[in-house]
Amino acid sequence: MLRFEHSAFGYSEVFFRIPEMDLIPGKLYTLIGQNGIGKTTFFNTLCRFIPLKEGRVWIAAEDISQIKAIAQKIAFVPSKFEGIQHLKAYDYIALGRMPHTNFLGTLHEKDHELVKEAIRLLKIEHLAQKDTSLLSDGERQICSIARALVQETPVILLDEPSAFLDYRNKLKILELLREIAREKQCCIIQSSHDLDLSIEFSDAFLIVNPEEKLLFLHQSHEISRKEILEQAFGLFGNR
Amino acid sequence: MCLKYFFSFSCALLVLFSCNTQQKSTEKIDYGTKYAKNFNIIEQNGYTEIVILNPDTKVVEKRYALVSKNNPRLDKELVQIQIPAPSIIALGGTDIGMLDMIGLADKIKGVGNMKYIHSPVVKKGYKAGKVAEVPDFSQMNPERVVAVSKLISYSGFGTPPANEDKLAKLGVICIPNYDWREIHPLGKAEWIKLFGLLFGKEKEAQAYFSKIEKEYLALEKSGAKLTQKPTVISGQMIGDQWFMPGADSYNAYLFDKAKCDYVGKEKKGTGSYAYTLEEVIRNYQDAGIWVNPGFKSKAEMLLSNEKYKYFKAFESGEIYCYSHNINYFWERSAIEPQKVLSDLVQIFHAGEISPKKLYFYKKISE
Amino acid sequence: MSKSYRLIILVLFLVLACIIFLHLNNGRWENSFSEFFAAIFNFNPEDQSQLILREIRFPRTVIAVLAGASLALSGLLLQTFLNNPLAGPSVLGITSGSSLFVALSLLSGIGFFTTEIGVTFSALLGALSFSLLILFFSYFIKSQVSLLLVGMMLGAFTSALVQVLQLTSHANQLKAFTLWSFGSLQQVTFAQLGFIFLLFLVGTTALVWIIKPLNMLVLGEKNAQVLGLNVKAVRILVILLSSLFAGVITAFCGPISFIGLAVPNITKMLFKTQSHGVLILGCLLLGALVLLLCDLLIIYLEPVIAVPLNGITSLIGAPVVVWIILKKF
Repeated sequence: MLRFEHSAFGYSEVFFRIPEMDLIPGKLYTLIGQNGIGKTTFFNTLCRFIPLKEGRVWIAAEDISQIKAIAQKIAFVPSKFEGIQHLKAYDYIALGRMPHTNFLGTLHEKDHELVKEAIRLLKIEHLAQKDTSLLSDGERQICSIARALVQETPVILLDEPSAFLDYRNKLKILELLREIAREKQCCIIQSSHDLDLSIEFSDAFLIVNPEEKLLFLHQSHEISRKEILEQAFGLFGNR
Repeated sequence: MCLKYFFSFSCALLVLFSCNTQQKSTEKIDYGTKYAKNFNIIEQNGYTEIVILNPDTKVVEKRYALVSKNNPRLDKELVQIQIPAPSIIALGGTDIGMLDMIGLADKIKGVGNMKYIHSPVVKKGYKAGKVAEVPDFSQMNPERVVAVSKLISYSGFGTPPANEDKLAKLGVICIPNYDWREIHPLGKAEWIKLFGLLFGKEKEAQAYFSKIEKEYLALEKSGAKLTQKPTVISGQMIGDQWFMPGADSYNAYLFDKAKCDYVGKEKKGTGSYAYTLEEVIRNYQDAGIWVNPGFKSKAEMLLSNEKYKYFKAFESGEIYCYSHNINYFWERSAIEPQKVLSDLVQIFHAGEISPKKLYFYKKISE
Repeated sequence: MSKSYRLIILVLFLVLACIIFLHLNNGRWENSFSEFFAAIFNFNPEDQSQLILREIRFPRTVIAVLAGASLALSGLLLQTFLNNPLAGPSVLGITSGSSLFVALSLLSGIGFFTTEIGVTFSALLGALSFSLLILFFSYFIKSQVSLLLVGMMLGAFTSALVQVLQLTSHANQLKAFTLWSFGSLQQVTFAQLGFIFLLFLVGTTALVWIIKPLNMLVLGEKNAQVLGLNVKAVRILVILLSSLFAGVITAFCGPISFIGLAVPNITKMLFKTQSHGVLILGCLLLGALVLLLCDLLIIYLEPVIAVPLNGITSLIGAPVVVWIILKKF
């Protein structure tokens, strides 16, 4: 689904490289790495805010630098959505359909169906007609995920989606992400510092090793908490 | 209390002297004033006092004692001016005209802005470096003013000018000139007496005033015999409003004497009244003559407001103004009221009387 | 569009129609439709009341509608684009830009620049260049309040420059400029209306292409980009359009303050939506309505006291702004 070939990420200097890696649909990946290692740069590169330093990245069989409408391939969820006055949750989620609409942004029957389906899937029917500025952080995060969902992209990126949430909501979000990956057969990458919860829910880890400046892929069942800490932060876990 | 006292005192004097002066011969100085309402000349023991009244409140604004040398026993309220004054800074345009008329223009050492000066004497003096440009009171540097002259005349505006205290400490005396607030055309001209007194030329001033008084009154008299009464609009739109003189104003006074039907006559008062364009069009679109629009040409008028074209006077071109020589008008119209009246009579009654040349006015060009 | 929006828009439209008619009648109910029809389409220059309707009242009413709508739309575009409820053509210094350029052209006395087209051109150029300046600053200044402060500084800077210009200019030019700066709906002529309406039509037509981008920009530039928006192109279009709307009106009516700031906020409160199709329609109607009401107030006050247009709009606009600040910051 998402294939990296000798790719390097960074601005003027390279933060880290991915020699070769394949990510497959239906999985939830968690990106782990210390602060400043370039996780956000990685996401920004995939969203094409900044160019790839070196190498190539493919989505299915397309080079991402060649893709015309990247928004139809990659959805991105920021770590926090503050909510906007007078913007209803339903309308917010429906904005995810914009990459698929005409120049007027007309929503057709099919688009509304997709929005309603996402709302059902995430069980937020009660929020749909509420003003996003009045929702809680957790509720807003779920709406953002719904928005990414209706975007119908094979890849969804989430920048620390649970950073601002309480334990219960963190749990809920991770559960949802795994469910979406399975159900929609898309490839989800979230960055996170919530190691313990992520181990429970993600299928695999993308770990940035600060010394070698390389990103390694590990299936969850292959790696322990201690090993993750060691690789990502040069620390030994104390369990 | 103090002000009240002065007020009643000066009123009493005003009445007293204006009665007394009627019969005096023109050879001597007329103390008191005949037409002017905003200042008075009083003969005191050993000096002449000039009282200037606030035109709105009629309260005494300034008292000056014209003395030959400083008199320490005089009332502190009196500002002492040693006459004849050696020089003056004339900030008001009419001040320059008046000084010019009695051969005192060479005493002018400072003016407001050379752009607005007509007087050839002043212009020559400026070129020779004998006349300086002095900025407005708010921008004035007292130190530099002292170097120019210790006497300033300016068009009064009801409140003391900025920096007056500082100027006073340096010995500079400021005299407000309210001729522009006089209603009677001769009242404006009468202020020439004040300037005459300042420079010891009171006799010349008196003689000049008597001469124009006679000419003006003769014109008024012949004007009363005119039969036609054309409708006249005056002034221009300023922003969204059209200002026309009220019935008791200076302009209305002249319009009356020149025999015409003018817009604004139904509104009492000495000020101007604002009309909307709609009102003016509705009531006076057909007025045959338009005076004082403040433009030199019809093209200029249209550029300022295209809607002027709907007026009959605009179509026929019967528009008269002094704008072609505006500095001349501002300097001289107050001191030569007979010429202003003569012009207006000519304009309003061109067919009725024998043609004479216009002094200030001119039909505006295309 | 949902039913409730349609209802509000219908009501606004009807109220606007009534106010337009009242305004055309100079605040009373006197002339009939047929008289207006005759004045516009079957004009008889000899008939004085037709002349008054056609040349004095009609242009004033039409320009009130166009100016109110244009300024409100300009404000809406800027507010959404900069994600800032306090943005507006006058706050950000865009009208100051127009003022400066108009001052330069009026006071320069150079032939072309003192003509109508010249002044319009200058106002547009001023609006555009100051918009670009604000845009330039917005790259470096992330804080909303700071950007507004920069706008105000631009305004202060310009008014200082204008003052210097005024000191060195001739009395007549000075008067023309000072009066222009008060703002007025009465200076436009019947003949100019066509030109202004054409530009307005161009602007509003272009708005169709910007509805979707604005809806996405509500989420901020980055999120809009993630949703596939070509932010660079939209940025240019927004700046062009808001400058067009504000610049044309500023050229013909002078800098009218607060409409561009207050009306979009009132519209959002009224419709409670971020759907810009609805908001654009709402701003169009409400902008026209608010400015007509302000001008109607001037008409009613005329016999008592002459208030410049900017005085009225500020009197009404300033409290609205304070209210927004209390609510949002």
